[in-house]
Amino acid sequence: MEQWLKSDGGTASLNRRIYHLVLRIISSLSLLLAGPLLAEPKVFELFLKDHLFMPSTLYVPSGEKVKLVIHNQDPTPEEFESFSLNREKVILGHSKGVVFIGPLPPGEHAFIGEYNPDTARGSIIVLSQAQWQLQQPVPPQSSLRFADRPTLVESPQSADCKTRLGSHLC
Amino acid sequence: MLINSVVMFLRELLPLLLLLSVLLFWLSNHRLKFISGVAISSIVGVFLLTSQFSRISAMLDGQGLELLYAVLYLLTTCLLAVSLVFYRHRNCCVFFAAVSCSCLSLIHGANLVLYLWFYQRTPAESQSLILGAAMAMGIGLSVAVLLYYLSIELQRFWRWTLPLLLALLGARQVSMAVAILIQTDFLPAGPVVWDSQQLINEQSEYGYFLNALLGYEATPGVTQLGLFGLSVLVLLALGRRLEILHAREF
Repeated sequence: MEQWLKSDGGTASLNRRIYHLVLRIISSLSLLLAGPLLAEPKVFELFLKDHLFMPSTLYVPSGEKVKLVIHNQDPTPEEFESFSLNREKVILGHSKGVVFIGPLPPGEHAFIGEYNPDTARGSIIVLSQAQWQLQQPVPPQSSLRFADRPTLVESPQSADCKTRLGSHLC
Repeated sequence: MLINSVVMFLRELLPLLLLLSVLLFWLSNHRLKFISGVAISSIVGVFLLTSQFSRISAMLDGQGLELLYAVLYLLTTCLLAVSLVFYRHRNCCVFFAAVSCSCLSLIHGANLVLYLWFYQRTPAESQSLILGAAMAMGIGLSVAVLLYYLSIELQRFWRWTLPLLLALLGARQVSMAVAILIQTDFLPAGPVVWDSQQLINEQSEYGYFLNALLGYEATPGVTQLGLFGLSVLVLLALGRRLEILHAREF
């Protein structure tokens, strides 16, 4: 390599440029491949029992990749399929499968169990970051200093969350 | 149950039948050799694959089967490209085309075996299943035969018909492999380029046909679309010599 770079005049300059270009491409490609390893995605679990998905509606945040672990608790295989998400995964009986989705914009995506599409149905609702933050559980009060404790009066944000997402989520 | 069976079988059979139809058109002088090669290697391959289904499926944190499918999809295209390179050596060409087709039949055959034999059904359900399978086979074969004769007719007027069909079918397998690699987080998806769900629904008849022919997705990502386009160009460049050969024949 050193000899190649030490060639005469213009050739050496050209060789050096090519060498740097190749190095740049390799480093860019390695960054692209390493990208998925850098950020640890949030994990969501979905269970399939008696050909029914539980929960049938799954809320995920927008703008980030999430890991969906599907546990098939039935003895028979099932194929998780979502046309709008372009996802398709065969999961054998009493086993689990992993599917990565996103980053997605806010919206709703239906999914089915392709072998039992009449019963195995559900949807993934992608919430905006603001909506996602609203539905996150408040940390236990004992972990907060007295001055930081939230007042018992329901905040307008919380009321708004309950109106839009339902009281069980806020 | 009947409709579900028809849809399930059609989704698995159509991509394979379309590839078979185009390859039979291309290798029309070596049909027997090609078909027997595909049949034997597919049956043996599906038997071996399904016997290890559970083990493969549990590998790599539950992603073993998908990665195997991705490799098989990529092999289908690579071997199709190799058969295009060796198009002058007929025996080599037929061999690689047959192995390419077998790789695809392994994926779809294994999925059908899973659906047919890993399930316990009532007698009524089994009847619907057999009827659904027969209907799907009938529809799939009709479409494949139609494509076969349409290709023959189109080839008379436009010599790029065969290279283009081969390129689209090859690129479709790459697109499928990329989709799997994206869902297993081996490749980044990139932003969605368009949403044509309202125009052609993926679950409609046209959607199924276009998916089987060119891997149609209503919401394709940049990576998937980019690699699809690149594969079409590479396979068209390889198929260019076929176009010249056919120009001499017709």
